[in-house]
Amino acid sequence: MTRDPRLALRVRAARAIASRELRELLRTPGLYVALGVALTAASLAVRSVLAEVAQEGLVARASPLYLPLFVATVVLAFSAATTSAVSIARERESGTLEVLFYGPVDAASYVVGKYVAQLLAYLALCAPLAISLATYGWVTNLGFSADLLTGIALSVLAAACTIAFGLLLSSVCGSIRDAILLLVGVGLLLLGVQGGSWLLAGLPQREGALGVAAETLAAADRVVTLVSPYSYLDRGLQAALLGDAAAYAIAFASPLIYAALLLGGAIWSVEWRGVRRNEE
Amino acid sequence: MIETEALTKRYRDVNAVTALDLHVEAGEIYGFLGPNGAGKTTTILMLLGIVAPTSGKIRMFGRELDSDAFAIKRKVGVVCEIQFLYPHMTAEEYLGFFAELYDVPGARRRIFELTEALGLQDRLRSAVRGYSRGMQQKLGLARALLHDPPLLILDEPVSGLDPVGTREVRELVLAENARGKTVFISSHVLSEIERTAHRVGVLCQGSLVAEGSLADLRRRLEATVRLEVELQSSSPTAVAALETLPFVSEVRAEGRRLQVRVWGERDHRADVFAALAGAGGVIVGMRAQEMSLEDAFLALATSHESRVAGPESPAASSGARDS
Amino acid sequence: MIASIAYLSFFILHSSLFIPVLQAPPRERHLVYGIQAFNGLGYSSAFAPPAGDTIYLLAGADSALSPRQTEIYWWPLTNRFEPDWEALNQPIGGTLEVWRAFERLESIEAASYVVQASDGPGGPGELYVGERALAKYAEFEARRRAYRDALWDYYQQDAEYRRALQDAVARAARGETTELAEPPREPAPLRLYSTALNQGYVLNLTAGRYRIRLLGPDGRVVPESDRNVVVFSPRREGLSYAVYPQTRWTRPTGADDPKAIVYLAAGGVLYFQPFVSVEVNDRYFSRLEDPQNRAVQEETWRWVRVRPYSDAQLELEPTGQPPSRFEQKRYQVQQLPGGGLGYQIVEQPPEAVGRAPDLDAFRVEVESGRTYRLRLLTADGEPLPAGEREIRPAAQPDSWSLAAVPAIPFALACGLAIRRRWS
Repeated sequence: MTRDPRLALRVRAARAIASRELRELLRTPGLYVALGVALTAASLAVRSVLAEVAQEGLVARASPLYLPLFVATVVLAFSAATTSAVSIARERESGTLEVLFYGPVDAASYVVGKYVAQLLAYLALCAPLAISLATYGWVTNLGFSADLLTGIALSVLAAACTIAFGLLLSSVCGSIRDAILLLVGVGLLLLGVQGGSWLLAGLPQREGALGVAAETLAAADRVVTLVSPYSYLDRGLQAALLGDAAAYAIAFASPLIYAALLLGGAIWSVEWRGVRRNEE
Repeated sequence: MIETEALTKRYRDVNAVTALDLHVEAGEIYGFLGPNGAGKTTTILMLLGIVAPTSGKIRMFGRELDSDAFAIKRKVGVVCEIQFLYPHMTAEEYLGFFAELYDVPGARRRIFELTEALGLQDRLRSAVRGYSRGMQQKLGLARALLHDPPLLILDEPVSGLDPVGTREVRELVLAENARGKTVFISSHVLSEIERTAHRVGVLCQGSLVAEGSLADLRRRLEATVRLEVELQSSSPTAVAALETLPFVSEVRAEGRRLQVRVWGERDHRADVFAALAGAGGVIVGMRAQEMSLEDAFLALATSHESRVAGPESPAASSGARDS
Repeated sequence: MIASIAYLSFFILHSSLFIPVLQAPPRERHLVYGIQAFNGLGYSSAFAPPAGDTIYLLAGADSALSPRQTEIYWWPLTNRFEPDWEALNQPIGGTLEVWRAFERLESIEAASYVVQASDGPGGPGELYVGERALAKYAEFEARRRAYRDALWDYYQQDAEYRRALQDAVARAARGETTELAEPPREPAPLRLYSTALNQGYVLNLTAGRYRIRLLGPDGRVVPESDRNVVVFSPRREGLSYAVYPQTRWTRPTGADDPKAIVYLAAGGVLYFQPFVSVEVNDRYFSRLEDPQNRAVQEETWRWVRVRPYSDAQLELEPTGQPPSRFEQKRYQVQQLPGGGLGYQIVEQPPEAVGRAPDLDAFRVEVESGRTYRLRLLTADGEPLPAGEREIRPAAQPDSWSLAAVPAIPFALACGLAIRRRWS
């Protein structure tokens, strides 16, 4: 494969790829379906708050729209992870990846171009998301605080990680089907670790094999929490709440570093796996 | 323009390409031939940097491919056998994307010119998923020519094209070559190679078994020239007269038609004409039958197989010469 | 007939399932730690079985640990280990070592201790150690004896008074007049609470992770005495409110977070009681109160009310109108007389000074559909930043107004899909 390409050529290639990918994403119904699902989930969360007020007569909440925001950003980030998880695999499967590499494109410019496009697509959804939440806050009189804008900004960082993660999965797969299976498999594994850890941690009697399993899952859960992009979102929100600039900076920088590492892995993976449809 | 030195690609226990020394001169049309599985596609993929060689060197435009792949690949236009397209893009968008990738100046005008030359003008704003095979092939050619590269690498460029389309592509290739482009064509359509290529290289089982102009190949493969003579009527005496000539190696009569093999060191048509006329034969027509590229190709392939298999193989016993 | 058989079978099946549960669970002898952990306000009493190998304590406050040998058993109905102190309750002596990483920080000798709360268990409390513990316990016992004596005297006086009352009623029936003495007054209940005098080890550590173990008189580590200790500090301090709606005063709502907004379904009377509060790690604090509590697993935070905030004023400002100020008062709940259900909340009369009020709060009245700003002020009228809250009416919009928002991107998606199909 290529070595030492000039930076300007890489930037041009990345820009062209990002531009094409972004245009394709914005013209695809899937993006808007994801937004619709996210806003539907958010509206259900809003309803649950209103139902509680109606039932109890009196409810005190610090950020009642935080749960709708969280739910919506999880849906959008999952959608972003899915589209990014299939993007490279789709191009490899269809052969268009190979055609790109006939020209002045290398793994780094390709992956970066894809990443930028996916991230910009997510950013494009942030504005309607913010407007929608503000609308919910206005219609219900629950209000819309500046904290929510901080939350949306931090969600971009969480999305940056999930997109990079999706691209890494996509880069190792030769087909869309394999990419989806891998994404679902990893997701189930993470959920299984967290769910299993939660279940076993709730048992006071943990002796023998059960105790070993509980300790193992607890350790795995700590690792999952470390790698989960949503732990950064939560830490960032807590830091913003406390006005802790240092903690906020760390919560801001950590996902960027994390995403950079994942992207590095995706670039290496594209080079290692090759760009052919049926790489030997 | 293209030079490979001991280029080898090994997949597990199989040598797809073995010690390939290719030489493609600037400004020529080079035909790259070989049976299925000979290693042609693997060679092309190595030239494009898609597949890493196991060993050997590749030089293009006088520079090693590894040293400056970006700059080198900007000067290459590639058409592959099957066009891999983005189905929801229109041709205009597709070519616009590649124009941006290659930083083509005056991209809109260039796209217009190329699509007009290739007959795609009417479907420029249609999604490419609705294109026929032939239109897709033309679109791929337009993409390859977009940035006006000095080197074109074409893998089965006329695959799927009707005769009209085939001719259009041939004329375009020749026109681009006339403008100074070097063209490297890999094709199974030997008649097209015969019509366009200045030189050919024949690949068999990963090895380059022959390289040179068509005339050189024929001379290498065939010591005799076959003359086809048509008489007004059959004439055994004419046949006998020919057989006495020292430069005639074989005469075969099929009614009025004679197949005469003469040694190829010089043109013996006048001598044959005189001998037949002296024997009372009336000659209606005479022409020299050169070995076709297909014949040459088959001869080379068979010969290589027999060399690789050993003297006891059926390929060895069948001989390299055509009947 | 069939239904009866089915019912009987169901009953027998479920009864048979309960039989193993109702059988006496197996008991095991183990070393456990009795814990008196400072919880910010008073002390939480708990015990840490061997399975709960981590003890959680608040930083910078005295807490006491008392190692004991007892019998514990697994009780499936509560899903926890329970001690049988009556069967066995043997204190374990020795020296308690406190370690951090690989460094021994201190060795603590056992001492007498007692926890006392002036306003009943669960209220503000103090831990007394050593001689002071002995003195305080003696004082408690004396006061308890005095209260019992006073109560006994009261019962005697009350009985005499009732006899005199009956006599006066009889005399009045005969037309005679009698002077009746004042009825006896019940002595003010003893609100002082005290634990028994115990032997244990008092810890006061800074935030961090430690390990403790007990060294016996022979210098060896007592088996099962090893425990992890997590000492944590509050993350923030602030002011909280317990908000009591007039219509359901038994179920207050906490407006603890400084950014909490109080949402109302309708107007009415609300009672705001301010507290000094601290924000703590919910998981740690839950296990401080009960080491066997595994309900909270995630890293979340909660506000804990430490003590009531007194000597303050409350200011309520409706949007666009001048503010009003309120004083904190003591209220009591009175059942309404008659057959109907209901109660009313009234100010506590001065004579009821010995009785604890049902509410010690600020009473405010809010109108439906109005937004208010609420502030807590010092006695001098200075606003306390952590005491500011907002009161908003929550609207209940029609279903379509919430559904309209996601409908827009769905419609856009449909349009794009159709366009793609037709192009």
